Amino acid sequence: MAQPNLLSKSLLDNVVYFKSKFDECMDFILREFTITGTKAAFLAIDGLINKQLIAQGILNPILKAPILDTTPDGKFNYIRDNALATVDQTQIVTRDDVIDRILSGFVVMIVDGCDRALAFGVQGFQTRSVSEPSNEVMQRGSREGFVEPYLINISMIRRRLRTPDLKFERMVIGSVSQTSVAICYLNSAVSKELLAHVRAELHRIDLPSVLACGYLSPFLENKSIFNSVGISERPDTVCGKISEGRVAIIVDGTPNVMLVPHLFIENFQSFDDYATRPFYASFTRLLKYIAFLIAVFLPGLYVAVVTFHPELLPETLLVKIAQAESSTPFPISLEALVIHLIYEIMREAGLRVPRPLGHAVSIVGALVIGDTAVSAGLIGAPTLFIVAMTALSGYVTPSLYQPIAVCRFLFIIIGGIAGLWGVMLGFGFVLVNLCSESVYGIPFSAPVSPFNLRSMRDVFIRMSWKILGKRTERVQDLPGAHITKM
Amino acid sequence: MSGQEKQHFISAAQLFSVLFIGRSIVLVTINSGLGGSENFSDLIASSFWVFLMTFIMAIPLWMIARKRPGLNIIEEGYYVMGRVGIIIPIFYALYFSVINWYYLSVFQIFSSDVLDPRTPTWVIAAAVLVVACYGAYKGLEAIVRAGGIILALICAGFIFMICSLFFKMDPGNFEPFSEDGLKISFYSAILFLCRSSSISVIALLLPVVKGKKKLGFTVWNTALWIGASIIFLVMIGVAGDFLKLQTFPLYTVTSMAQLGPFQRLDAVFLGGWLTGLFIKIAMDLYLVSLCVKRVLGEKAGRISILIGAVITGIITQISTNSRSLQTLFFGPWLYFPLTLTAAFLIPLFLWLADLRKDRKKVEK
Repeated sequence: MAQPNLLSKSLLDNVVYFKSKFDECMDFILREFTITGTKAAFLAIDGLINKQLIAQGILNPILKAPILDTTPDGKFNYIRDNALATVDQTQIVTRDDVIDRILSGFVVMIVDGCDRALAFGVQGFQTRSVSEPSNEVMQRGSREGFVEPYLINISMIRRRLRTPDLKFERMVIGSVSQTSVAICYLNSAVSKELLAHVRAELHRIDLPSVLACGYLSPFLENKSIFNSVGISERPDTVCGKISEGRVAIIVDGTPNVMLVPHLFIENFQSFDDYATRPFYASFTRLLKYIAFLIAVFLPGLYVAVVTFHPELLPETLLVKIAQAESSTPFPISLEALVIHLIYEIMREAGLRVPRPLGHAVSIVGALVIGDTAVSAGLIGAPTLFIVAMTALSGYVTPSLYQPIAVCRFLFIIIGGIAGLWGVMLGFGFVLVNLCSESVYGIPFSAPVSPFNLRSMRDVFIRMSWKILGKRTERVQDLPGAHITKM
Repeated sequence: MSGQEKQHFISAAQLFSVLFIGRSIVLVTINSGLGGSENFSDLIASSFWVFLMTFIMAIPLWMIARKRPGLNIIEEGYYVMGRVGIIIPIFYALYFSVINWYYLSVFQIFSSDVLDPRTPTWVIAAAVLVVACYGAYKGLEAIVRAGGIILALICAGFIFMICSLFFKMDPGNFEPFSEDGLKISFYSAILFLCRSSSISVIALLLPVVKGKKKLGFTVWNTALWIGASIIFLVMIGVAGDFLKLQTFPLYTVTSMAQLGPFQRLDAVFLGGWLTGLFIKIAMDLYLVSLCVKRVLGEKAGRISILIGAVITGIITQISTNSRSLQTLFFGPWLYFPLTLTAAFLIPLFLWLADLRKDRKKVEK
């Protein structure tokens, strides 16, 4: 085990050490002063601290304090116990801790003759204010979304679950970025095995820097094409999930909180479901499942049926499709592939393009692709309609967009090569992939398969809170779960 | 995460869901040739015989399971016969491979004779095997979970189909039951049973099954009897004598189905058959690997999935052009002795040998 890099009693030694560490760091602040004849210094990073608070809450009281003790240790103790009015104050003894604190926005005071230091929480960096999350818009419910500083995110969760049972564990990941990560869980609900597993997975991560959730999620997820790490920007959603025994992982510097384990059916649940009336929530829930199936399978099925099994279509529909397709030069599978490719390019352009240019993308998309391509006879109107339907349906379950987009292309290719057989086998492949995975010992496909009737109250339909509220279903209680209940 | 090193169990409901799919696959391919009778009314009677015979055939297996609940048929073989017990996994590995030949060859004949797609039939068969291999590699839990969802879809399709065909039924199509005597229906039952590996699957998987196994078995067997009877009744009611001329009568009947704007519901039939088929083959390949693993170890077990699939693919491809192989596969002479041995004789022998061994121990 490495020896702790302890602070020296000599202020000069300490100052030289920290100056060398922060050499050529223009934002490093070293302010030396004297406390009744004893030299001392403040260390901080400019931009991370509130200078006014330091002046009024720390420096002024120290300089004005009637410090009668003559020994450096006595002066240090007096300041620590009597002189200051700051709330967040910690005594530290190692140089590594000092560096960690000042990089986190603390100001650290070191006194000559003392091998200890005092760190004051006076963070004052600029942050984005709490605002409505852009990716999880809700009709009803809170308008608050997570922001970048993780302490603010923690406070948002804490405000919603006012119980000491709610725990936050801090760890640092990233050898260079030293990113703070907090594991959040409800002690009475979480499975200890699940918690230990998450801790172990996070401890195993050996990355130089962690700048977003996406850096950590590959270490937490399974091998399925569907994401088994949930991401939310909403504190209310996170609170709901951890009440069911899940673990939230909050990464400093990102407004997204990760949730594990994340089951497949959770992609179809949104916080709005629980804020609206059950009959409508059930309706929208079913709509989401249908939209998902349309988004994945419709283009492939369309290509397969029109190319290989036209006899399956009603006569009038077949005639309409045949009329439209007879004037186009490409086979239907190539047509579907190309339009989807163009659509994906437009979508990607729409995401990345500067906002003032966004209208141009829309115009190009609507006019050039939508109108001109059909009127020029390059693509058939029915194919375009299928693409439009598919694109719209894909947005109903945004968390599944990535696997949907890829599967869609694959199903068009398979449908164009092997017809309905191919699409059905592709469905089988996806189904096995979905059913084969477990997330932290819980079947990814639960509670649909393995089936659990009780859980069905919040899967395809959403029952009333009068029923849901009777018993909270925890993830470890799902059928087929291989983790300890508590 | 996925790599948890724990003994995983499946529920009785999951096991019997997959077995239900396996039997449904046999059921949907039945015709006057494979059913052993031109009169489809005999098949209704034969489904009752199947129901009774399944109970009887399972008795030795249940006796073993009661005596040694922690051992499957392979382990029981080793327990009773010592080293000689190696013949049990070898036999079952071959049996499950051979049974796959039937399922895939029927499907190939269907895709070449009835559908005649532009894609070569061997490509479709290969695709089925690839997906089945993937399922087998992913393991038992993956297969039974996927099977559960597929069963739900098959049941939904079945109900939809029955509703759509109900109004097309004509009472004039029905013929008297057992017009040619009970012997024919009994023969049909044997033909049906000899293509079903359900009891052998139970023999291998029972120790990893949790829950109400007896109830599951009873519900499964009864549901199959009722389901088969309904299907035969509807088929006769809708198409009558026309069925005798069809290679795949159920497919013909489903293509006549119409419910409101929905026409040509044979796509539902095709979907149910194909998805069920790959689950069935995946399960059999998994069981082949289980047997090989017991004899040659973990790695060989995994490789055997691929080898089993390749052999199945080659044999079925040959069978599509070979009259003699088709006669062998679709008659009782290959599968009856094999299934009787796998499902009844081996469990019976092991049970009796186990009893004898116990008696000797007591005498000592």
